Amino acid sequence: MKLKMMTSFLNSDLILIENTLEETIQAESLLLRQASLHTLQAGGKRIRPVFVLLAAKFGNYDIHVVKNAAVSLELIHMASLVHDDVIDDAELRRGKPTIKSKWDNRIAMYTGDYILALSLEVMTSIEKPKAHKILANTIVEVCVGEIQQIRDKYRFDQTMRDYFRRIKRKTALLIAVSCQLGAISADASEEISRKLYWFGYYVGMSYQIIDDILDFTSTEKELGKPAGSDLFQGNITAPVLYAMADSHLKEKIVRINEHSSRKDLDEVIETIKNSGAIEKSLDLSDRYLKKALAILDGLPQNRAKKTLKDIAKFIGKRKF
Amino acid sequence: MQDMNSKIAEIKGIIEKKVLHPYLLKYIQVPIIDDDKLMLLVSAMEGLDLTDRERENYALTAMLVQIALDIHEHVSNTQSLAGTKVRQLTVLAGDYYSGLYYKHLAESDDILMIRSLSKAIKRVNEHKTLFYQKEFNTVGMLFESIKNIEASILAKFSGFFGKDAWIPFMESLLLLKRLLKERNDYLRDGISPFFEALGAIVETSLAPGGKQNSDTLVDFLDHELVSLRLELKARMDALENINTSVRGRVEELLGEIKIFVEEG
Repeated sequence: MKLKMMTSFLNSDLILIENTLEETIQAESLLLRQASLHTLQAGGKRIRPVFVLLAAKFGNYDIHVVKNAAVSLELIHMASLVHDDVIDDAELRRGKPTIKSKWDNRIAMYTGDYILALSLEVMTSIEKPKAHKILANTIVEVCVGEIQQIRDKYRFDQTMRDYFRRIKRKTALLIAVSCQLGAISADASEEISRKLYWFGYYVGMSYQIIDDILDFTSTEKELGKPAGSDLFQGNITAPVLYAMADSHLKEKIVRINEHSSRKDLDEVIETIKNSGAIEKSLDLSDRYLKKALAILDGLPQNRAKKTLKDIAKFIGKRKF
Repeated sequence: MQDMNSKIAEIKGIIEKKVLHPYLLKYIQVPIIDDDKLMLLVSAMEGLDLTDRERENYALTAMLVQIALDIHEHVSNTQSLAGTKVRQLTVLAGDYYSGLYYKHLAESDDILMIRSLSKAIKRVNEHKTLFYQKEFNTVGMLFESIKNIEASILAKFSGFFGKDAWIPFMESLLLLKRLLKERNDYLRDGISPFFEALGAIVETSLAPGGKQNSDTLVDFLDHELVSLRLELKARMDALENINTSVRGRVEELLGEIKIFVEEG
């Protein structure tokens, strides 16, 4: 089942969020408005708003309140993507030109800063200090994670623990907080908010591990970028770490750097794929998924719970 | 004077400590704290019913926002492998400092200020984009954009505290300061986005058909600066209880204009 079908009962609310996202971007500068809308219209799974809405179903669900958290989180995600494309010097995202490529780095910086400010302005509609403390802390942590990712590039002596800490900040936190803020904005109990946070955290970890696996197993067409890009850029992910447990493989892998040829990279990718590292990584992702599903067991029975379960399973099986 | 200077130095020390990130600072420029903006902010808060701690917190927040936005101005369009890491960390540094200002206000439960500052940041980026495009029809529009870029953050703070009278003064002072910087940079380097924008306006609306040379443009700006000098002085005089540090700094800037006007 596709994600869209799983969340079909939220369709009218998701449309409202989509419309609100578009209405919110009302920059006076035509260029800034075009650039911001370009990012928005590039699409995306809107997984964060989905998590916000589903989590809010465990409290007093009022879409007109909850949508602010959903819109804010999606805008934060968008702003980070715009800046990430400058960081990665990326020409395409989801098959479409990035802002930095359609315009330039400078416009991408202004657009990202504008969208981030917009997201915080929207978030202030939720007048709950706790929600802001959580979100602010998350934004800082995500940045720290990205800085660490740059620091750790081509650092082949890093451990699985370093990797977990990095993907937590890179991906899991924002998904965890999407669930938590959904619950908080709907006045769900402290216990439920906490459980939903951990559900999001485990799902997020699993999601990123799968993403890191797909970088090895998918085609360039599916990924929208050459396979093995992570390793080529020096990002040491779960498959690489598992493969490096074998000292012979490690010797080959540590030779990869930004000047490596495509042929050398392809050879190493094949070696990693045949080493059992992909299976071990899938197993790791699966363990996180199981933890996520176990958390759901402790939540009240409702349609949102079933959907969260379906989404978790979908993430575990996704192919790209 | 001494009291204000030591107050500013103390707050500056707090800000420097807050922005200290050893790994980032290994690669990017140390964030520049604009002394004038800090002084204006601290001065505008004088007489308010705020504790020293609150004053420090607000000053820290405003300067973090300013630093975050200023750092992103260093992200260039040109790529080189040697500069890749610097570019990447410059982007992240700005985002990190933005996160810190939000965290700072969130920890003080100051949701209204978060809203207010978000609006100011939006405005700054609107005008940075306009300035970057250099599509102004009049000199007034160009100056208005610079005022918004330079003074929106401080203006929002002043408005938030009911110190509206400070806003035009801050705008004039920061505009004048920026124009003086643009003038100096142009005379030194011969290129400046500001002068390109000014040249386009002069060419299309004020002196159609004629290509402007650098001397004409500098003369044109000097003429504008003389008017701004009068405006700034009038706005300063309209403020009550302005401290001697601010007054001294204004006199210094006005003096700079006087020198080149007399030399010219």
